[in-house]
Amino acid sequence: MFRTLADFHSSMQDPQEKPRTGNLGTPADQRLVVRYLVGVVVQVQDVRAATRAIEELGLIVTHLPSTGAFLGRRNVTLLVGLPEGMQQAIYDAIHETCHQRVEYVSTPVEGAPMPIPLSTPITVGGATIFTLEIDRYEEF
Amino acid sequence: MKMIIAIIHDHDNEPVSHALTASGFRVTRVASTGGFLRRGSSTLMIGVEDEKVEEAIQILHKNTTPSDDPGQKRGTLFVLDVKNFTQI
Repeated sequence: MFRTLADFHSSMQDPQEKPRTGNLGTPADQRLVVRYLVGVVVQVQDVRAATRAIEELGLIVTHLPSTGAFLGRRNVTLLVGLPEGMQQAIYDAIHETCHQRVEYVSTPVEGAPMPIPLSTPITVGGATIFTLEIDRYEEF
Repeated sequence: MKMIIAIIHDHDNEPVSHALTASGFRVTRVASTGGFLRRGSSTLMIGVEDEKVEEAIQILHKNTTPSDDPGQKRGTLFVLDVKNFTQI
């Protein structure tokens, strides 16, 4: 989906979104003490919806391009600083926006004299969430 | 042992990485996006001894360029505790 880093950056731009005037900092009205670093691995298809849902909670999202999982597909790792008490809210936001999908991969049939491709359904996606406690958080 | 995850502007990456390396810190840079008006940013991962956390953070502070807009942040950093760290 993105071949270069520039592609990745532009794929993260949401065309429907108004230009943002904010910055890296958390909006002033929601300036809470950040206690956790949340790493969320999501499928490329879900990135925009997930980012929007998390930003609606007043949190700032950083994207890292990544690959992995069973099929080794491209995905995106989101980094979010999370204040105490918002764990459930972010889990719900991710739960609502990241879906499991069934994809088909062709596997050769073993023992067949000719290579006959066989479609094997594999459930992929959803999201993986890591919540790490942080010692110190700083915006400068 | 701690790991510092610092998210800074792309244009600050070069001086920051250089200064950290010059002071004996090892830096891993991951290109990222988001935060700053959705522009490119750099995420740095730095493994440091507990007593050197402050020094590394000072280097980050000193080598990021202050913005004209006082409301604009230069970066965000997270310090995480690391159970085990091995360099081979």
